[in-house]
Amino acid sequence: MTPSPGYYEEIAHTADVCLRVRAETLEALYVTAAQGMFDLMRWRPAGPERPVRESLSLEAADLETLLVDWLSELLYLAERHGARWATFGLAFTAPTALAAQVEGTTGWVPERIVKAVTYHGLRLARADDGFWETVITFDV
Amino acid sequence: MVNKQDLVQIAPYLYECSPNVSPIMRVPARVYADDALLDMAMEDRAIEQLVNTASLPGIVGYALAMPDVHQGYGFPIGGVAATLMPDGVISPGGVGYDINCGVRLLVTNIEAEALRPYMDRLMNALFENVPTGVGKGGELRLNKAELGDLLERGAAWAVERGYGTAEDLLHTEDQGCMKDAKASAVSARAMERGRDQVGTLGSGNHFLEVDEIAEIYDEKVAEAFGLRKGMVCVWIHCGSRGLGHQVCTDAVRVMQQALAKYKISLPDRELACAPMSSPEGRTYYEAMCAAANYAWANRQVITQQVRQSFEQALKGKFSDLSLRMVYDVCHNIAKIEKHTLNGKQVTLCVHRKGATRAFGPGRPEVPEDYRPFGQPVLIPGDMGTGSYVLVGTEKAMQETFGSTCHGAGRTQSRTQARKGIRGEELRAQLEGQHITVRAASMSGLAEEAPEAYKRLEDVVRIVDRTGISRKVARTRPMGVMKG
Repeated sequence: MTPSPGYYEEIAHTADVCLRVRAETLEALYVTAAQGMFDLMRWRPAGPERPVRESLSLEAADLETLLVDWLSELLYLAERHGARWATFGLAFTAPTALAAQVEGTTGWVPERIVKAVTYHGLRLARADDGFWETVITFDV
Repeated sequence: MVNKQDLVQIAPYLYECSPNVSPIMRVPARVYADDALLDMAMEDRAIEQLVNTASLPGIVGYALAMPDVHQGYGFPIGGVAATLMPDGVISPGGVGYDINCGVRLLVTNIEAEALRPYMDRLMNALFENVPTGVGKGGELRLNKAELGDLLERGAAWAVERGYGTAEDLLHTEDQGCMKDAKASAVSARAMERGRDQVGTLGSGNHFLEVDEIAEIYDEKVAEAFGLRKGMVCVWIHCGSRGLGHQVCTDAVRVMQQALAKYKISLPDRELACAPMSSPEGRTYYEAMCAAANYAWANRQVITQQVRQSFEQALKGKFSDLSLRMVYDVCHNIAKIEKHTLNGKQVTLCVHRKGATRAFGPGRPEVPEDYRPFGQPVLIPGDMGTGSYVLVGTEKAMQETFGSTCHGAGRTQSRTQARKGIRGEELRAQLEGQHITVRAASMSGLAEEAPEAYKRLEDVVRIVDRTGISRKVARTRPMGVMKG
């Protein structure tokens, strides 16, 4: 996985999975959230590896919705290609719009399905220490 | 923040939180529980989520939590909420991403003791014939027209193609088809995700189990349902796969944008909703019905794979290898139903999120042969201890919009469960109890360990004693297959 100046931790949730993600920049927050989500899925090899790359542009009404859209799009693209994403290049093109390029390899299958990225309790803001922080719940 | 003191006991095993407790509440919130189960419900955010649910525009009566309630997203799991039609809201988060995740039960004429020597062979055949685990596609690859047809016709689509019988349909909730389904309401992306997943179990808490009918509590009703002590039965638990997940994802996004338009303010964005009479509400409802139909077609195809597996593994060993459908129920759904409220007949949209319909005797929705008794209510438990068959009651019609619990309900997070036991260790433990295990993922198996759940008998005791459903039979696992 691409190193990023951010980190995540799992927060207890009875039925689903919840991550707290923190990073110095918004870009890093989005990348770290994606890395956290894909780590949750526990991948195992299932066939020959082939490099795969996707470009995406997303725009939303607010940063929280943009985060849900970003992660949902990555999930869909992973399922479509049977791929595990390894590197995430992302830049904001407007306050609530981004362009990204993701790269990975096909031939991987997750042991755990993430059914969806939810809005439950979703908040995204800059903390007192200057880090961007979000808490996001995944339906698994 | 709701405290235990805010929940006042108003009847045995029934607690109520007054709408005065929180300014957002439009109706009271009610919890079916004993003191111990209520304590468990207070440990996570389930009751806070129930209170949030009581804020939905158009909600009537009360927001309800069944005794298996636990924290979900938006609604709690084990939550029931009814909104008044035509202008009350429908909330995709009140159904969940796995639309019509549900259970069906099949019974055989095979005695459990006679089957034991062949369990390995049978479980191998099931594991081979029923695609299991994430990313496993099925044998069917549908084009757009075929999938559109399936989405509007549900289980009947599968039966017409040789996957099952007309009797299967009669014993399926809504006969396996919600008539308001519209394939045109389902996005291209959802259609794409659904093309090759019909007839697949999936992963997570989905399972297929071969059980022995261990106990009969109501001989008369059990006989009507075809349940005899000591006989083998099969449970199938799965849902609408990627297609259903996408339908919900699409709708939650659309409804986020519609909130301002309909002047709806919510305590949690996952409760996003729109009036049923609005274009957003109607489109979601039609797409949700289509996803529900997909789930029924899915379970119908799996039913036939189970029948084939019995033939393949046991041919010549038993004279009768038929598997008869007892019933099929939804656990995640919103339904337009007629109920009596304050003495008046009203049309409601009843959201059941991790809850089961439990219609009582005489309701036209219940299959004719079961109608004198009420509908079968199928409550799967954990893989170590087994499951229950209940029957719906008139009391449920009066108190819970014809609803009851759906399972044991988790008490541990998946991470906690995995820390508690390794998958291989759990498999050995279960095999020590003469339960044959097949699993696509050992860590996935560990997440579903019996210790991660409440004791199902505690949950069932509450719904039985309050009369919102009654115990008919209990089954005990002989073989478990997990995604």
